[in-house]
Amino acid sequence: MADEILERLGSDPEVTVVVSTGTEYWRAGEITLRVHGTGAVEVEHRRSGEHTDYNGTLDRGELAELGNVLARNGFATLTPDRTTSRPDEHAVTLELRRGDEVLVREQLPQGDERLEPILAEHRRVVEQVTDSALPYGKAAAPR
Amino acid sequence: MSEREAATAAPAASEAASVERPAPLQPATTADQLLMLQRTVGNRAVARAAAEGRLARTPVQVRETTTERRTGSLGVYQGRTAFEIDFSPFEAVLTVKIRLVPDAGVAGGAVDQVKADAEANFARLWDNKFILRDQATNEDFFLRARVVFVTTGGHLRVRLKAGDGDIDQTTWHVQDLGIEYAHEISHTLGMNDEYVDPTAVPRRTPTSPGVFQDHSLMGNYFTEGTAEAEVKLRHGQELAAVVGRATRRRFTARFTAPAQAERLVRWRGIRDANTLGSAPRTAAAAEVEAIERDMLIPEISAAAGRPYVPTP
Repeated sequence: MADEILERLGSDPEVTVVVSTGTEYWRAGEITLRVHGTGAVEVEHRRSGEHTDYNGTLDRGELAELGNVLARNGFATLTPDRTTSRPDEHAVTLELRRGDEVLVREQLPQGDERLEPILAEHRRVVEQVTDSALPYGKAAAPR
Repeated sequence: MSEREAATAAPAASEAASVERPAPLQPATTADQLLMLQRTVGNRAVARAAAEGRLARTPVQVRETTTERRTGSLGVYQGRTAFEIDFSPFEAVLTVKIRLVPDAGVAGGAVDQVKADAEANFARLWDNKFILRDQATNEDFFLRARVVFVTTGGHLRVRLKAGDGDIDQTTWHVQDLGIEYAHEISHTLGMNDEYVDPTAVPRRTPTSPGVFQDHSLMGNYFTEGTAEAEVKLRHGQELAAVVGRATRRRFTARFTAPAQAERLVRWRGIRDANTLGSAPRTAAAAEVEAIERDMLIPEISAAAGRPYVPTP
C-alpha cells in the first residue's frame, strides 16, 4: 500500500515524504526534506541553534519520478539490519505521511548501503531547492 | 614496500598537505632539556643494541571496543580501538595502520591527498602533545603519534568514497577536511565524541556529562572553529588508560612543554577575539591563566621582579 502511495506521489495532495539526515550539532547539521503531494517542497536546516527554511516546488512529472525511485529502493519497507552504528554514523529518518497519519517511519544508520539511492535523491532535491547551498554547499561551511 | 618502509616514506607525502607538521621536539625547560639529552643518549644505546642484535622489541597491539548507548531502538554507537604502541627509552611511539579502500573511480591523486591530509593532521594534533608517566617506575615517555597507510592487514579498514558526504570512523570521502580524518582516527585511539547528539544518552543536551564545548577535536569544531580545535588533557588521560590496560601498567598523562606553549598562544588568541566580560572570554581567560600557571609564569615573573597579573 505504501509503495502504491509513493508511486502516485503527485496525485494525492495529502501525502508527504520526509527524509532527514545528520544531527544539529555536528558537521552540516540536520537537514530535513519534506516533499508534499501538492508539489511543495521544504528543506529545513538546523545547525548549532540556527534554523533556516528553504522552499521550492516539483512538478507532477518530477514527483512521480521521485516517488517511483523511492518505492523501487525500499523506502517503505527498509528496516535496520544492525543495532550498532559507528562513531559519527547518524540515523537517517524515513517517513511517509498522509495528513496526520504516519504510514511509515523508520530510522537507519546513514552508512547502510541500501540507503544510497534514497540519499542520492535526497541530495539531488535538496541541492535543487537550496540552489546547492545544502547539503554540502555554503550553508554547510566550513564543511 | 613493507609497512615499515611505507611509514618511513610517509613524511614526504605529508609535505604536500596544507597543514604544518609540528617542529622537531625542542627543549623548553631545564627539565625538558635534560630529558632530551637523556633521550638522545638512550636512543643511541638502543640503536646500538638493536644493531648488535641484543634487542628485539615487539610493539604492543591494543584492541578494545567503545560503546555509547543511544535512545529508543537505535542501539549503540560502537567504536573500534586499535593501534600499536612501542616503548623505547623516553618515547612511546603510537602507530595506527589504516587500510584505505577507495571506491571504483576515485583517482589515485585524490587517494594520495587524503592520505597526506590524514597523516599531517593526525600528527599535528596528537604527535608530541603528551608525556606518559609510568606510575610504578616514574619513567616518562614522550608520546609520538603517527598514522601509516598499509595495503594489507592494518588496524582499521576505511572505505574512501568520491565527493563529499557524511563521514564516520570507517567511511571517508575525498572532499572531507583533514581535521575530520584526524577526528575519525582519534576514535581508533578510544576517544568518544563530545558534541551534542540527542540520540546518544551521555550527550543528549549541552549540559550532559559527555558534552564538551572547549575547542575539543572530538567536539563541534565546525562551529567552534577548526583552527582552534585541539586534543585535551582528558584525551591524553584516556589514552594513557587504554595503553595501561594493554600493557598492564598504569600511566598518567601531562602535556609536553611545546604543546602547552602552542595552547597558550591558541588560547590567548581565543580570549582576545572575544568581548571583555562575555562568557567565552571569561572561559578563555581562565584557560590561559591555567596554562600560564602550569608553565610557572607567575613564579618566573615574580623572580624577574614583575608580579604576575592575569589578563581578564
